[in-house]
Amino acid sequence: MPRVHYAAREIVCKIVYYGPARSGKTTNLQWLHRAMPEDRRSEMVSLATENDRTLFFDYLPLDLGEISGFRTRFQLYTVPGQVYYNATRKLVLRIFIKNNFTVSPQILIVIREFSSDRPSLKHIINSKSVIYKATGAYGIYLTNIRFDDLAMLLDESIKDKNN
Amino acid sequence: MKREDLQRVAGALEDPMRQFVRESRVRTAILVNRSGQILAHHGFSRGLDVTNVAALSAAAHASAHALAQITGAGHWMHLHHAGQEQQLFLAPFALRGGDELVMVAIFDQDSTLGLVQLFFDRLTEAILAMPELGGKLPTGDVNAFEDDLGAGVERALSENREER
Repeated sequence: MPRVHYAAREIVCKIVYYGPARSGKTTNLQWLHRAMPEDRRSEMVSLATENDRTLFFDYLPLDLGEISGFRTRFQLYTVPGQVYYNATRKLVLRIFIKNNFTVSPQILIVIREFSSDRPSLKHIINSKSVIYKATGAYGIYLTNIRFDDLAMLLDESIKDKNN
Repeated sequence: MKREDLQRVAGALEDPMRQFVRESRVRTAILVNRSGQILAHHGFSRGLDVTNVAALSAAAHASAHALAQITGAGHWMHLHHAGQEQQLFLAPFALRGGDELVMVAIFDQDSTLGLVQLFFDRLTEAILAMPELGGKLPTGDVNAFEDDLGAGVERALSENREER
């Protein structure tokens, strides 16, 4: 749900990419950064390790023009996927969810299927409880967030594979 | 950093870290790389989740570094937080190969910030003089990244158990 500043005449949307390690969260942001015209995007901040794994978060601010006279600003964030960075992931989620009493961020779950030992994609998508459990495990409960605020992003490679 | 490299680097860091903890009188000192992998850990850490401390320290380092770059403030030197009972000192230092390590020191009224800074400078001099840490630190394979991170924690925890 976006935050609307009537005085400043702007609409701010926060989107947090959430998902397992190497599911394409940062890649998606990088693609968006490349695809956007230069005058619509700012510098992408990526706090990553030497292996280019997200260590804290990636941040991409986008300016997507005007809707009925309101300037639209999108702030895209990712969380780290590795289990090792539970503490930093928890911190990022807490900042976005608990500090936004008036507005919930859109949470985009990014999923990619790598091997047969992981739960199948169909199972993950059909199970809302997986998402509730995933966030609940970090002390963040989605009681104030409607399920509609969660969205899924399937990597293109999965669609190809399944088709 | 791979498991076998970690053993070599961690073995070399053991004595200087022990000396740093003894002389600066900090309660705990943890040395991590930029990924948050624990290279050395010495001191009293019961009740402390070293994995979280290491991961958050690496994140704090990455944030401070990015902030310094964005604002043109240059290289950041250290972060210090004085709590009511415990104090936290976080400082990066560059190795000759261009890699950076981050020192996390937790201390109480037995030590002071000045003392910690003084012996931290001596520790960095000692580390920079080591042939084991003279070049660029080996980087782990992307596929084995989580295992490599876990190896540091395993090592730190087993050392801690032995000391008790």
